[in-house]
Amino acid sequence: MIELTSDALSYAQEHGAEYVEVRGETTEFLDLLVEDRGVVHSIGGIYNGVGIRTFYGSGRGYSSTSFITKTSIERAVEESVRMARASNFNATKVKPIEGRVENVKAPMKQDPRELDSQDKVKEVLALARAASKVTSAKLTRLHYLELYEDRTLATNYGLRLRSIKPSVYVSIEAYGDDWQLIYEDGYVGGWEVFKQIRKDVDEFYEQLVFSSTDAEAESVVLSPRAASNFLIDDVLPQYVFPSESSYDRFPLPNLEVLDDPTRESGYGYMPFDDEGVKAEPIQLVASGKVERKLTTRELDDYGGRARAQDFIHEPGPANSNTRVVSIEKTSMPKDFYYVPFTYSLGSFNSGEVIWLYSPLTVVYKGGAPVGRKALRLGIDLSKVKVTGIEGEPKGFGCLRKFGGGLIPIAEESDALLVEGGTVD
Amino acid sequence: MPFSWRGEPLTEDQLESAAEMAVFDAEKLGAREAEAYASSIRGLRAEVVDGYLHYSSIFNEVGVGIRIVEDGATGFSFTNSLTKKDIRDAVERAFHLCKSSRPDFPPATLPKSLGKNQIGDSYDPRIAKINVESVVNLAKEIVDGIMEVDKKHELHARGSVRSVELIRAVDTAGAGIVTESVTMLQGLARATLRSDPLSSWSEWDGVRVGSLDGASEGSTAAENCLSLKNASKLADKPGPMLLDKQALASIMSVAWRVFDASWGGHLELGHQIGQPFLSIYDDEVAPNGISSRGFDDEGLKTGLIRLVESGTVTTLLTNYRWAQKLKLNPTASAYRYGDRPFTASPQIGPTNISIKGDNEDLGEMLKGTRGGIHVIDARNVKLIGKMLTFSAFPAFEISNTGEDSSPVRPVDISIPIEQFFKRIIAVESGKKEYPGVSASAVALSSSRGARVGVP
Repeated sequence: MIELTSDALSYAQEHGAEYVEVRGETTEFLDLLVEDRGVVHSIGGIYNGVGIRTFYGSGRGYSSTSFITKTSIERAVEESVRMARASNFNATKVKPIEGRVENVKAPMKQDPRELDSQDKVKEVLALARAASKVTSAKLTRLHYLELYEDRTLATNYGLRLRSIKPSVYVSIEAYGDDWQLIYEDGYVGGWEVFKQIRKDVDEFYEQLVFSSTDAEAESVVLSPRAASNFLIDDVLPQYVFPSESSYDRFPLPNLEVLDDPTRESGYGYMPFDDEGVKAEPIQLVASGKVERKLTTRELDDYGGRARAQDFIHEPGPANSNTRVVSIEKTSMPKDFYYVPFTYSLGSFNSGEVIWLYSPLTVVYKGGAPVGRKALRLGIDLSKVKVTGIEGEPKGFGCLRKFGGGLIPIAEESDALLVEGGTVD
Repeated sequence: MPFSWRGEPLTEDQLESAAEMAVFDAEKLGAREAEAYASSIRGLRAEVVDGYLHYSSIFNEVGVGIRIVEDGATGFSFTNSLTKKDIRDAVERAFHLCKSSRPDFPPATLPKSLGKNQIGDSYDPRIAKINVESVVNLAKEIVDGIMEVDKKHELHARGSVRSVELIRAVDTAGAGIVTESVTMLQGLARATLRSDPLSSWSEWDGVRVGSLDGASEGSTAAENCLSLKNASKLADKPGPMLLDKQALASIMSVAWRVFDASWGGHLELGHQIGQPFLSIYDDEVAPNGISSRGFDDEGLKTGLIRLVESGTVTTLLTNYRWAQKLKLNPTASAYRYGDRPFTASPQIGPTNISIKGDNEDLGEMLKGTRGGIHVIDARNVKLIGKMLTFSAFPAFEISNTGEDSSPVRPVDISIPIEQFFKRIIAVESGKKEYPGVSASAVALSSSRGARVGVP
């Protein structure tokens, strides 16, 4: 792959590209679909490919191929250069990054690829059985995904970066009268990630072993995981990613948001981004204001938050190790919905109202749990008050599947109390 | 200068050879049942913003997926390298995974014979000849269409076009081999008000296949967007709702799941879901259909699927596996999703859903739904459990005389999916087909009972 990327760089320069980035990728992949009786479906494979981005004046072109032959790559280079010559994106000129060589391998204690496959299946199956106990569903289905991504980035200005990133992801779905996603998590690392997920799932479900109830409550407590889902999926994108309609005022003034891929202990540790920019922490939100935006080098001179889904796609802005911290804390109410996990139904009404779905909500009355219910929750950002909760532990937030890979985007965030402004 | 992107070395014959090689290797290993799915996708994308070519890209994805079934259990693997060694490695991986899996119930098997319908003539021949230059020009035409209407420069204009050529081959041991090549074109026109702080909603998207009229897409987008400048907030107001073709297409792109045999919440056969005039079809070989294809992704011959007739559910969409599980006839609805379909085992998917009804025209339907809203598009369509939710936008109030009047801000709708079909009181069978849904519009009797969110 490294030889092919070098050949592609030379070929692109011969064809007149001013600045060329070549991305090479090899990803190993194992996907198991498990029900309580066993692995019902399994997929294993390897794919690799090359993406070529070229800049010419204020134009750019992108071309990719997974057909790894000299001819095919040369063809992709030619197409990329032609498109760069023909395009113009707001007259921005991306300046080359100075050359350097760096190799990064994300920490991994135990390589899941080296595990005995029968042992692995046994462990995954045990997790599926544990999950099935907490639901009243007819069928619990667990999805185990294991990835090993090996990426290189090379430019004609001497940049040679290589990053190796293993990751593990688990989702659990319950099928009864209808379908519900009831757990989803995963992050960068090896088999130890699966063990951590197993521990989290056990703890997570311990909180949820209640019969169903019709009881109602006024306020809502979002666990750190749910708070991260809510903020990172639905609220932050309108504010921290550049767009034609982004705002400067942040509607939840009690919250501060920091994005920090440099934290080595964080699951989203990325010393450089997918354009080769060295990472630095960014305070995104403070005192009710959007302080900085997450950008790539096509969007401003700094960039630093470029993430490419895979070699087919150009890098776009993404967050990493994002922490949500409340500057104001309040005590836990007596009557509330406890939302341990949620997923987005989208933001309606021009982003003022965020709709969430919480399949496993615990209802608390007088400080004690009285039962469980599924909740569809609308949070009106123009009316809601959101604060942290005194004494509640911080926790890991969410992680998103991003194309073939996984991007950790939140950690050590506060649990949040949501008062007023909720509609259902 | 036109960009040539054709003439790549890969051909249908080469894909066939790769698939045959995989099946041969599997049989040599002792597999009783084996299937290979080989695909080559070449895609072009171009985006023009305010007159400039902002973005263009090409991708080229090739590979083969191998499914092995042994004693009712399944193993699947893939590779995007078509060398003999890499294909053999993938076959061995699939075999190994198959041995680690439990037998499904009833035991899994693969199709015993494959077949193919001819759909070649149903595609607009211009699409089959499209190249980078024509994709870029089409995106420019969309933007020109927006700018032509937008004399005062009140709009951001964006046109995106994507063309995908897919060649695929399915080879199943002892059942035969089928190959096909199709090309698809999608366009999106997006006009956004520069002055509106809520402009993320002030857009209009269009998707067309088989039509290269970018200027018309652009001007429609611009007209819809400009009409929203003074959109009023609508009070909580239950009432009838007229869903226009694009709204219906957006909703059905999600709501089809109720006919998916593999979905936990699917409808039951024989269930009355609508009034007697209502029929819903999935025409896999529709001329100019967005997803027309001669065989499904397991190699089964496609055709017209009658999902609902006289308001009653008559068929569920199945792939071969789910047809076995539910003891139904396979509908050839196997789909391998994504830009790398060879990496995926077959799921279930619709092709060209059409809703047929009592042939009312739009004017009559507007009169029949006066006092309600005329919904041009539906955003954020989701099916959560059996609840269908979407945001109706753009939308217009329908006056008491049965005409569109002032535009309204987004209206959030949440309605049980069965109620959605039950409340259809009229369907316009429009002359102009719309991708995904060929009826032009449906009217819902009332959104009463549906929760209207916060406007």
